Amino acid sequence: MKLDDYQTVFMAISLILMLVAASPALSAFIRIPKVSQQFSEIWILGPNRTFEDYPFQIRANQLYTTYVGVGNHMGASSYYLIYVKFRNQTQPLPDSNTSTPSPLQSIYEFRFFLADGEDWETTVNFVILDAHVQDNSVVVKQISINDITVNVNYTGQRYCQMFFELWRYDLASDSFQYHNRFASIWFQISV
Amino acid sequence: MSTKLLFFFLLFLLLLSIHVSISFSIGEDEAVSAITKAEETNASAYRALIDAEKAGATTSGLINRLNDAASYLAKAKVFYEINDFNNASLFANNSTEIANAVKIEAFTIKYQAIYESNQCLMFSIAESALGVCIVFFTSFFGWRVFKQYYYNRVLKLKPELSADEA
Repeated sequence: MKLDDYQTVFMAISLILMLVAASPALSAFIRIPKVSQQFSEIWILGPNRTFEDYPFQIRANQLYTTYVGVGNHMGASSYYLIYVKFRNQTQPLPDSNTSTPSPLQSIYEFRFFLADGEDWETTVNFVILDAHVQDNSVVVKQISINDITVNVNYTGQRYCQMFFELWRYDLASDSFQYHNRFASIWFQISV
Repeated sequence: MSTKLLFFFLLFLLLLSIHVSISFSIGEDEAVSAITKAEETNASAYRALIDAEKAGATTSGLINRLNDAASYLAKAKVFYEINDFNNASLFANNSTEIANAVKIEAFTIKYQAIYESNQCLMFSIAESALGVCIVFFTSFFGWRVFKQYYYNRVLKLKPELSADEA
């Protein structure tokens, strides 16, 4: 090997060592963006906190328990809002294609902050109050959710649906935006 | 005489209770204003939390406290919907109080995180500069020593004549 060849090898090794030595400072300036899908999830669990034994045949004045949960995978902490809504079979659900929420009035809401990668879960205890049959339709005037009695004015078939719409606070628009996620549970009301 | 006295006393008690209930009952406007304020404070606390998070601060403790504020605000809104303005206002004010405290703390930990991050950056730069200097000078002097060794080795070589040249 000639001296010039040795010089080239020497310089290459020196440069590699210099880069290794400079890596603590370089890592502060060179940021590799995280490539991961950002999403949130929402679920409903039965009274045993599992995906089974959901209350279906529900009677007036009887307490039922479910759990609603949300998972945050948005890459940052998020401020969520869940609207609880109640509908009969003819009333609209949220539209996933257009990302629009249901126009129905919410009967209850949950608000919470969630760190990235964390889950949140809460109990939803509910009692159907003041329900009766009128002209072959079930009329529900009030529901108690987590010990707060709210007015619903539900009229429809025995089959009804309680659904949970997930909204997320958008810092750009400074308001909650529907997050295009909802979870629902069907009931058959026995009066 | 005692009947009259009793009557006035009862009348006084009645008027007092009406006065107290008027003084302490909260109207719809007041509840709306309290809820609006709580909503704004929660939102600004969230903004401060995100800023602190971006600056590299640990925000898990703040999130737990903000959850209390958010939960109070949700309850305030539900109470408002059922026309319970007293509870709506009470929960909204509690929410504002917690969210305000969290917002202030989020600002503090944000600047603390920025300070610590700058310190860390300065240390990294100093560490890297020292490392690069050591490598540079070691390589430079190493090369000189090696070159000298190489020349010495070449100079010590004895020329050999091949059979043709002889």
